[in-house]
Amino acid sequence: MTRSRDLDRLIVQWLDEAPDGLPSWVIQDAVNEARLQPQQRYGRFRRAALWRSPRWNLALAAAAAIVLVAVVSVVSTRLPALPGFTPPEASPTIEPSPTTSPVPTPTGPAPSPVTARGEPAAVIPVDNGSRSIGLTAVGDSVWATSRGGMTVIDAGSYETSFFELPGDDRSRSLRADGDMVWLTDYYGRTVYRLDALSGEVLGRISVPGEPRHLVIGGGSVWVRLNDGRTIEIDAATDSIVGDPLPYRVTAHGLDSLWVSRPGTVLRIDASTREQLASIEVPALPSSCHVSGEFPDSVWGWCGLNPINPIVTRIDPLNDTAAATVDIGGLLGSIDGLVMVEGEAWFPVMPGPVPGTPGRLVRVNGVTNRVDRIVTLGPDFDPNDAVVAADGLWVSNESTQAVWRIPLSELTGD
Amino acid sequence: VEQALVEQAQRGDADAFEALALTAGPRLHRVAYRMLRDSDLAHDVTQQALIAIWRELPSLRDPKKFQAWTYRLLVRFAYEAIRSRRRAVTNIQVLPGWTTGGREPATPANSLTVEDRDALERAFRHISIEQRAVVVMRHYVGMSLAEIGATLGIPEGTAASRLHYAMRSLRAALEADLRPVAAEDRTA
Repeated sequence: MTRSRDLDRLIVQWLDEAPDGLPSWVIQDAVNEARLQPQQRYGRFRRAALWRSPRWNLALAAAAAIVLVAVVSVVSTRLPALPGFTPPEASPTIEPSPTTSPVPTPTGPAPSPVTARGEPAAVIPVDNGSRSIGLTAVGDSVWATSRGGMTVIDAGSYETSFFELPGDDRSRSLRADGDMVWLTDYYGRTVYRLDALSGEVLGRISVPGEPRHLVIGGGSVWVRLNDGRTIEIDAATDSIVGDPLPYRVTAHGLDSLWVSRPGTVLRIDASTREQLASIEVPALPSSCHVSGEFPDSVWGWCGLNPINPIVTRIDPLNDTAAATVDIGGLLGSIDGLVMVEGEAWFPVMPGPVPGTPGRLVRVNGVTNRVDRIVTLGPDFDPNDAVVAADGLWVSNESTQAVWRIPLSELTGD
Repeated sequence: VEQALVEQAQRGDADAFEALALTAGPRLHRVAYRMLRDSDLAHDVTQQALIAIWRELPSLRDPKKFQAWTYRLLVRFAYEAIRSRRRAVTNIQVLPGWTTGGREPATPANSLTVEDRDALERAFRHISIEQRAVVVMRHYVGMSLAEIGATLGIPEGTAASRLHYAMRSLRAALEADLRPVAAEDRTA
């Protein structure tokens, strides 16, 4: 019993340990949002609350489904077949939903996306200790974060080499920038600048928080910290510039920083740090991002939401949401964006229900529809993705490997 | 004072809500972080809960129960967040030979070591979000089982059962973590 009490005391002590503080923008955004939203006013018997209860909604949906099935079955048995009418084929397992509000929806019927089974041309083992593998393309090679250092894959021959790196390797992300590669060390609160040819550490910058995400642009490296702030590092001097920004910066383009929050994308002038625009996007919880190719194909999305995976195409010339696209039902969480020959591809993690393996989903930037879905078998569990040497390179967490998929296999050309 | 602010905010006073949010936000965030073990997710869930508090405040019948009611909303959003998240952002793992570079204080008996924290983090991520909620409400917020039941909308017995199984898992994780050390001691 004493032993049990000792353990309980340790558990309570662990639970008491203080987390990071709450950034002021979390409360300020909520207050701003609240000021725009009406409060719910309930009737005498709280009818509104009843209608909003999940059980009631479930019962209502079930009843509606039963009535619909009954009506359809009666109609189909009593009506003669119309001349020339062909019954529709059964829907595929995953059918992307049409574009949703609040931004303009494309007109015309949604064409069915092509669903293809792809095969990787190569599967290169990379040991990153069961963790997500970060990737970046450096010339004709692909760098993959690995246990204790970095694995470098020759994109032509698939030969690998490895070099050790200092610091803590448990959580890292990386981005190439010309002849440099920038690398984060989350637990060591450090950003490294590496020589892209030799892997030699050229710079080591201590940052005031755990670095999670790197954005490169305008001669600076923008480092998003775990506490929601972003710091700017001058790429020429390895020094931190100014105060941290109270935003999660996720992209740089058109001399602007693009900040995504649930429900809003902010555009910030990268030089003056003034807010230039606020763009409304579908409000989804958690980990929102903006990426793409400026100005033609800029997309925002919130990952980690397998129930309603929506991406939004942003028009950066007019600072508006040009379209929102539901990339399809219970697919799984969106885990990034990679541009392949001007087309936006979203790696999607395996979904929470059977029959929804990991896949790559292409959204057509003209029609704003999902027009191609490529599956790669039950083991496909994508993390990061980059393009190099006519191939899409995708890191695969569950199998601890990097897959190369030829672009021709991907596009069907 | 809080009760007066709640009543004002219930009548649509956004300034009163802002004052409430400034005190409730950090309190909710501390609970959210402890349940979710992820800063980003905790920020988002706190923000969603604050907006929901504003929207649903008129439905709160007894302003004295404001705190417990906010926890209920928070837990609801935490459930949704964790269910939609297939895997944690960071998979904390202490590698052989990994050291903290001297940051870790000397560990007296019955204090948490890096390995303890690692074991608890992993074990906590493996118990259900419903169990996590009960553990945090009981051992961090300090609620009784009856209060937990009322806050989460579950019978007191269910709260007790969830707490029992969660604590058993966490204790097992700590004990398992101690085992290799004991084996090394024996061979030494």
